[in-house]
Amino acid sequence: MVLEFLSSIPFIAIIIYLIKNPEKAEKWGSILARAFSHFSKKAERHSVSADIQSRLSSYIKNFTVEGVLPYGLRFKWIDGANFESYVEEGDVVVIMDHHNNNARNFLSAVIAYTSQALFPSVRAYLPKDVLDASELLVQEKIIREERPDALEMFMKVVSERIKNPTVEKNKKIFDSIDQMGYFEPILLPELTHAGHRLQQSPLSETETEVNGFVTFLEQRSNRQSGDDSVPLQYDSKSFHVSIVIVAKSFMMAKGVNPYLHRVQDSIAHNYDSIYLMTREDKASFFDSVIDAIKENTAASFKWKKQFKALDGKKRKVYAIVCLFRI
Amino acid sequence: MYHTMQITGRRELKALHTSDLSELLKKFSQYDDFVNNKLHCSVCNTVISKDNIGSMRLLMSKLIFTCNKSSCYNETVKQTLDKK
Repeated sequence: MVLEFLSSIPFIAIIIYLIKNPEKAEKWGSILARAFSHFSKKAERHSVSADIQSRLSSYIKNFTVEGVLPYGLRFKWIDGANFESYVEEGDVVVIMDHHNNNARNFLSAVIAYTSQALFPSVRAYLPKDVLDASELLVQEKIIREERPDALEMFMKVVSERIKNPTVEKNKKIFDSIDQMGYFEPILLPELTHAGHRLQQSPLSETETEVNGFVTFLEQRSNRQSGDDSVPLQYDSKSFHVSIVIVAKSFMMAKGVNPYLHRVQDSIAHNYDSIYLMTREDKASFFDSVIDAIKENTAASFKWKKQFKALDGKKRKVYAIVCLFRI
Repeated sequence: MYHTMQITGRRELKALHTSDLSELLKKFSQYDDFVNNKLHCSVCNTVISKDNIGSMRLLMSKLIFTCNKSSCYNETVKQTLDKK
């Protein structure tokens, strides 16, 4: 009896692991389906879709920020027999190739997925060129992370969109914002967070608001190392953002209080999104700051994540970012 | 441990495998046009082939195609949303 139970432990552990990591289950499903893909049409389709779903889920799980990419992806396979039952006039059907060509398939799926799933609640209110540039950079980041062999193909299929001068300008700005680690952890969630406020504004005002916030992050990204003249706070009708950087040794030597006071000051001045940033070598002290804020303020802790970034001297580092909301 | 978001649902992507394309084109009497390079991207007018086919939609009982350029896909989605 005991032996039977003990022998089932590895099996139970695998089941729990797969439940906790559904993208791994999809990955194994894809590998198994590939083995049978020459014998069954269903297995070939599953091999294509499970591979894409597992890679996309892996990106979303590790990198998405609140409400920015809230949905996964599910395939509904169409063929001649079920076409009329599943496809209504106007539905867009994406063509997927054999699994040997899964880099191309992944690219098509990512383009289709982000056109629906990026900022689903606010995309209608964002300026088109900002939406386009955000979409392109998110697509590029997913592909770089999950399917780098599709990158060259991606550059070809998006070349016409990037050639648009306004999109090109925004894409370059977003690239520099991304290099400093502000794109995924700050720009994307703030565009989502400000969405309901932008919705109530006329289009011209929306553009001014969004462009103003983008310029703020661009100036932060392009500042020289040690330049403290670039503001850490941005306050407008739609955006009330304060950034607290935990970096300087002489300040850290004073303990958590200077950072706590900055957060309390931000709350007193009605900033409703407070981002704390540090580098991974200061992770332990950073956690102490977070605990102090949780204990001593009414700010609500949302998340803490690690992102790739460049430091002030353009060296690659891992940044840790945490968000409190009021 | 870093906090990660839960995926709250899934978006459905309607997909056709290239191995089913011929059957579907024959069903809509567009197979000959495809093999004779007479089908064009509905956005940029590029000739549609098996190498550059990106997406399709049904419009007035005909299959309308776009090539694999992302600008063409976005435009066709936009046209669809405008009609809906």
